[in-house]
Amino acid sequence: MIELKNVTYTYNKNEPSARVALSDVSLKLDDGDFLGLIGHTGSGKSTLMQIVAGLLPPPQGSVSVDGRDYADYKSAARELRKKVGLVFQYPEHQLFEETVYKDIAFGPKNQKLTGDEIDERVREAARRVRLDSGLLEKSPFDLSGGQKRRVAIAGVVAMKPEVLILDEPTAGLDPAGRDELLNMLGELHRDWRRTIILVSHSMEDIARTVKTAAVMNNGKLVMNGPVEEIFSRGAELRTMGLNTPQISRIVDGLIDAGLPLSRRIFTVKAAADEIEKIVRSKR
Amino acid sequence: MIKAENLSFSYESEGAEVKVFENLNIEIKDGEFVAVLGHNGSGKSTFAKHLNAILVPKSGKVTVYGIDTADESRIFELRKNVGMVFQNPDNQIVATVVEEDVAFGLENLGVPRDEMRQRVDEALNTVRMYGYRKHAPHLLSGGQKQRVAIAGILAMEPRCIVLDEPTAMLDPIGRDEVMETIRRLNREKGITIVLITHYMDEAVKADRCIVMDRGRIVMDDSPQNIFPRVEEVRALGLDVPQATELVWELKRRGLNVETGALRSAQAVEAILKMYENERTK
Repeated sequence: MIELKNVTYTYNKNEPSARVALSDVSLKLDDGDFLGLIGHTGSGKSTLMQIVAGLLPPPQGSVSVDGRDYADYKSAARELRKKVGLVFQYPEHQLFEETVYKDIAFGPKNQKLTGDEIDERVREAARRVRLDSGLLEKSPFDLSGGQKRRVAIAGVVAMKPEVLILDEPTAGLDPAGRDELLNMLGELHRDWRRTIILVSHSMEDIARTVKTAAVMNNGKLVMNGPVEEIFSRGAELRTMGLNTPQISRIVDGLIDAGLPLSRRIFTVKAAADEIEKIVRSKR
Repeated sequence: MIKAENLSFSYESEGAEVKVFENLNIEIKDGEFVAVLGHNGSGKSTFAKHLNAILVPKSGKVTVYGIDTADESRIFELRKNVGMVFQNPDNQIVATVVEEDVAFGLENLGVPRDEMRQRVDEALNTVRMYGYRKHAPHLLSGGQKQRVAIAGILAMEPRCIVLDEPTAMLDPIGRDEVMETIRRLNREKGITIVLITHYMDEAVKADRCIVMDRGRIVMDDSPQNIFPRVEEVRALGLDVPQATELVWELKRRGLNVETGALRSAQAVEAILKMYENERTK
């Protein structure tokens, strides 16, 4: 369990270029959560995730890890770095080894595990990200974009972090690659039972993958709760520069025209179910 | 007019020949706004790179405004006419000041100073970045960087701009800015647009969509005629807009709704009409 209380973070503190990236943010992550984190560029979501991962200089505010309060962020950060694995945007740009196997093994090797343990970690991680074991001896550079990305994710999974954060993991993938990756993340969460945070500005991705989400705007955490609650506030989200799924805009339009629908609809299937119901009840 | 005739391209990998496409025939008319769709590996980017001779045909022929792209002596003329914008905005910026970046191509062509000033200003105005002309490009947002890249091409006064997934790395605000710019260039300046994209909400804004699959053209029609073929489009690894999917799904469930909506407003209209019909029955 990781809890941030009233965290404020300023870049270039004490300089003319100082910029407040987070202001008074409180966030609690329970073990096994699957959270979507939404916000446009510059909203503070990356800064927040780097603080959760223990990668930034101390912010103001307090951080507790597994119920223990830390007087200073520095010692909390040491715990956080052990616990949290962060997959950056376009992580495949950081692949560098000759084989997929070696790339995935890089993290566990640095954890000073034995050869057998490393081997087990690599194979388990590959399986969890649905990477065919036949690819392990290939060069990562011979793989497709979606496969490369899964190799990079496997490299972090192999370190067995308790919290896995993925920053825009579907960026630049084609629709099929995106579907595959999101399905994989759903299964990873279901089988692995660890905390996963999906950072994205794609509301469609969030809507179909997670059940709870948090929204950042101008350095503040402005919404936090069930996805259907968040999407029912479409007009507010749009003022923050976020695009609600097209289906929410259609449902809003139908409600405005007088159809008795719920605003808590954000998938095509749910919309079709409700529309079918009200039309058939007319017959 | 852009014309690809019996265009084939292949590359070698581990000693074997990999065919990207074979006998491709495409004609793009002046002033058209064409979206090229297809899953990764379908050949769409390779096709785009043939339009300004980044790649030249292995066999077949590409003619762009009467210039054969294989004719090396006319490559400057060709590239002046067909500009290209890529996915990653950071890889396309060469100067440390926005206006110098936009002027880069003109400097290489030896355009006189006064004319250069005028063309750079006009290009920056067109992409709505004139206010940023003295800024450092690396401090701009992704959407702004892409618009600067587009301005650099506009300054060359091209007849066609090819954009290879220009919004893939941008956030929703940046995507809207770039799409709005592209549309305006097409509508107001009559510039031919070839847009490679994975986003179906962008494709529906085009006049025409070309769908590629394993090196073949499998659909070539207006978005209004393509997307309502939901099952076929999905089988090609592509999305359909949620508006299209919703009315299609209602129809599939036996409701008497008109299909073919692409935008939210069209879906709302079709569903309301069905609802009224049911009530007055």
